[in-house]
Amino acid sequence: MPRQKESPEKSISEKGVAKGVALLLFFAIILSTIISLTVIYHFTGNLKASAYYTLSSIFETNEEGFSTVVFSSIGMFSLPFDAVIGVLIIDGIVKYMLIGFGLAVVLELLSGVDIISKISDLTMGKMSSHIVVCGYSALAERICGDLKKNGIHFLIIDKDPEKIEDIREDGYIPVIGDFTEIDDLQKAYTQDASAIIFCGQNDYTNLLGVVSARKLSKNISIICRARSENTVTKMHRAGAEICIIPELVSGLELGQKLSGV
Amino acid sequence: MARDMEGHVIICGYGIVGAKIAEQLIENGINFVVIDIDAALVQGLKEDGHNAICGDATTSTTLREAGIANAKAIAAVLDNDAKNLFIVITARDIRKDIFIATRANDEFVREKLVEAGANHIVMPQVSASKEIMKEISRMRPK
Repeated sequence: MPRQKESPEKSISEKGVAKGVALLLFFAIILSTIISLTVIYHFTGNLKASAYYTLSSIFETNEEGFSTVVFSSIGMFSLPFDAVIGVLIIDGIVKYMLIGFGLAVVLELLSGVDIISKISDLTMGKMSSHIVVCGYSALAERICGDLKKNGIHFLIIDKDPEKIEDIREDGYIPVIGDFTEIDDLQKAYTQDASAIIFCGQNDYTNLLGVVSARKLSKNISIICRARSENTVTKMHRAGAEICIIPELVSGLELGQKLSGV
Repeated sequence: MARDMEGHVIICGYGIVGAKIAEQLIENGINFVVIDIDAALVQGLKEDGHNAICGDATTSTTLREAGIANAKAIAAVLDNDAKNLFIVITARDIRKDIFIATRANDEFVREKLVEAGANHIVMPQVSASKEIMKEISRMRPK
């Protein structure tokens, strides 16, 4: 299914704006705190109490009145406190906004770390006796769905960035690379895999992949998709154990069905 | 003349799927007519002794020429989902009782083919995946 991608230029400017806004709010809270402290000190004449009120302003914004209860019961500054409650509420709102944007900046930073890739790398490193699927074609999508249903671990190699995104969106583990290259097959721990399935759209690239996989591992089971019967012999010679032409399988099924009608 | 045949199967599209269907029908001694747009391919089939028509299988004229009036089944197996859907609709319009087999490349199209009146639908990716899963189950230790 076609999927839409965010343009890199848009995401960069959005990140810049987010960071700019976060900085502005940071300075706003500093300024707001200084103003609150100054105003309260003007009424109370006590710097320590002024600091207490300023720090607790976030509760006043909720109208929970936490500090009101505490300080009124002690009988401290109840009159001047009422006079400055408006300032405290505004200060509290600014603090809430800072917390919200602070969290947004932290999330932005975390997303830049690409945690999903790191987790995928850790998961891949523990794999053995898994299956490597090469090329995320329509056939590969179907195979991956069936592998998942059967609880079989697998990785998918593809070099197309759009396919890599598709793989991630479908909840699978991608390996970015060319499945005809031994180095990229090694990234998918092909040497430890029990089987490899070539689902590329092109018989030539699938054949190259078979040759590379067999060179990398003498024991791995190689399954390959072909588009014509002429290619099947070549695939077997290159080292594929099983070669499947999807259309042929369907034709056999239909032929048997029509013979029985 | 194909038009005068009875109890035969019409194969629309002589690609890998169509050729395999023909092979199965020959093994079971069932007559068939092939419709394909490729004139050279049709000529080759005729030289091999098979009934074949060069034409567009999506048109009712071509289907009538292939003897749809008395055929027992029709296979719409072009490598084009939209054309297969067209053939299914056209065939069902002409014959309410004919058995229609076809192929689809994705689930969305498959649903449309069922709605259009197809009796049996194969999806090459599904068939291939089933075969591959059988092989994998056989290869992997229990």
